[in-house]
Amino acid sequence: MKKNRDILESIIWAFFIVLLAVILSRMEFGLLSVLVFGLGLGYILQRSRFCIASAYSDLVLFKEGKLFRALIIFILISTLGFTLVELSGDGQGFVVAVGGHTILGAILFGCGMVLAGGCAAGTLMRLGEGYILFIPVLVGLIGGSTLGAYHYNYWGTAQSFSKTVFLPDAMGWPLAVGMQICFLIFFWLVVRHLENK
Amino acid sequence: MADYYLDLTGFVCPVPLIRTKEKIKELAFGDILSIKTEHPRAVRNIMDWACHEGYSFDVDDEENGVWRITLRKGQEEYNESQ
Repeated sequence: MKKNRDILESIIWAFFIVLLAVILSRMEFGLLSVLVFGLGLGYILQRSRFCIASAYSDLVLFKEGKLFRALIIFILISTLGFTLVELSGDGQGFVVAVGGHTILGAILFGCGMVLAGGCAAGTLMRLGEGYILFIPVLVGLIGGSTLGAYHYNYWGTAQSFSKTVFLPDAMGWPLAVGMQICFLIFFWLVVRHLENK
Repeated sequence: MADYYLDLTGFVCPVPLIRTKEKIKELAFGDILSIKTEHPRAVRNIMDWACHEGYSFDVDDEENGVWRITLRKGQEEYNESQ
């Protein structure tokens, strides 16, 4: 009985996704690829139970670093992908100077993420699963983002420690990417050490 | 040997694992703890922790999006002490 209901629900959702795909492709074909990527990433995120908030809280509270090591692999793959995109000249990364806003933003985001039980992607995924507890989290996320965007220019300029430094411009791509990979390997070893302690 | 129950619905990570660890301290070896949660990440966290501690456990899908984890505190140590 439960299985039949699940199949019926899946068919209804599949119908709405196809309908949305048709509408988007008629509006602008590029939107279709956004939908496909969004569905794919959402599916992977949900099935893998990957959670960036838990990656940090598990390591600090329980000395469990499995998710944090997954996060390191995730940054490593992103680094290589980002390099390829930048070198092919198809995209331009958005780089801002480090400053007081980085520290304040990291503390606010980190505390909010752990208290709410999920980051931006995690919140959307859990809402998609039907977890209504995350509705107020989404409201807070949208409110906070809107507020942040409203006075972003102040934080981006007035609080900077120095002018914007983009490491590949300063030291070349091979050295910058190599240094990042070395840092990630170092963090991996630190996590392993904390786990075995 | 006693059965205990912990309803952790409405709690998100890392609270379910913290509460489970607190509760398990009150249990004697061989006691059974049944945990109800609707947070998927918490299920994985509790399973990983139970594996690490060597506790035997079972996970049931109570209904859509609600899980019940039944774990036995240190069965092997319990057997040895008999």
